[in-house]
Amino acid sequence: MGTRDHDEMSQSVPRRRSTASLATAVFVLAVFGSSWTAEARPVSYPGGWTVMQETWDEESSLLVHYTVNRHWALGLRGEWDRDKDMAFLGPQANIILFRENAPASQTNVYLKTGAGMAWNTVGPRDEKAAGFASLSADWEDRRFMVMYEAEIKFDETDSADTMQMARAGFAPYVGDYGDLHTWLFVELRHEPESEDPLSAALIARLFYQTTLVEAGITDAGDPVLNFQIRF
Amino acid sequence: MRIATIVLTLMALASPAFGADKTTVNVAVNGLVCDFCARSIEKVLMDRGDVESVKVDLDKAAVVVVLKAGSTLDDTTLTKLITDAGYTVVKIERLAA
Repeated sequence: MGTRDHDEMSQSVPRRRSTASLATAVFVLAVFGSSWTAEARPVSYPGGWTVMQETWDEESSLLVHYTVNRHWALGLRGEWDRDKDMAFLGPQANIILFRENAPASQTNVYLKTGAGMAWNTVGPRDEKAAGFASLSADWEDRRFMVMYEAEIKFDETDSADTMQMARAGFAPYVGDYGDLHTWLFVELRHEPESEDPLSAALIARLFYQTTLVEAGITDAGDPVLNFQIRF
Repeated sequence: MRIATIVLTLMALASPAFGADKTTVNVAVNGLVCDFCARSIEKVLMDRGDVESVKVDLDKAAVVVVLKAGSTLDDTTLTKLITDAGYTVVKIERLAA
């Protein structure tokens, strides 16, 4: 993730009258774009709970969602950027727009959207209403997987930030049901508003039954560590 | 003699050996490519009290469900449960256990 100019973060801003600069807004929006994981199964089975934690360098997020029915899930998302002293909290909805189950593969298209509040964790709180929406598509069989996601983020100052992500991977071995499964991915990210628009990461995914862990490293040398569990 | 016949008949009817046996149901399913995701099928089926076991076979793209004796799980309900888990039922075949 590229660094952003946040010199104006130190300014005192009236809590109820957000007149944040464009730089601050973009910085706030950068918090949303910190995730380096492709969420496995954004919509689970009806009544199922999913907990997803993501950490990339000094940015962490936690999403807990409940699947209402086979079409959508509703959750609560929190994010904390310890480097930029920013936090976000708000609801998120994941919706299946399309799914095709073929004999040996599956294709999905999801819409993920949310809105909430972002604020400084150090100094003046400077709360801002903010939101995001993303469209993602994936195809996988038991050996290969490809995924693409496009995201837009915005806040009450009407500024917007965009991101595109593509991930491709393979399973070095095809595990049976109940085995420990391993996948290896390359992920590319384009964030045109960032100082470092193009980034890449190598990620290893392990999952066993309903627990999934990802670990990797970005081209900037930053760690990627993600965890999911389904109930 | 008549009484003995009646008693023996009643005992046979009460015997666990008499009546419905377990049923094995083979379900061909499309989209079964991921263990992590397919756990949904096991979860939704095992939540029912009349399912004894569920085995997901990713190689054969099939789910084998063993129903307890007296189970009321019909094909329509079974299809709905697997569809709700995110998959497509292609064929259901019921076998006596």
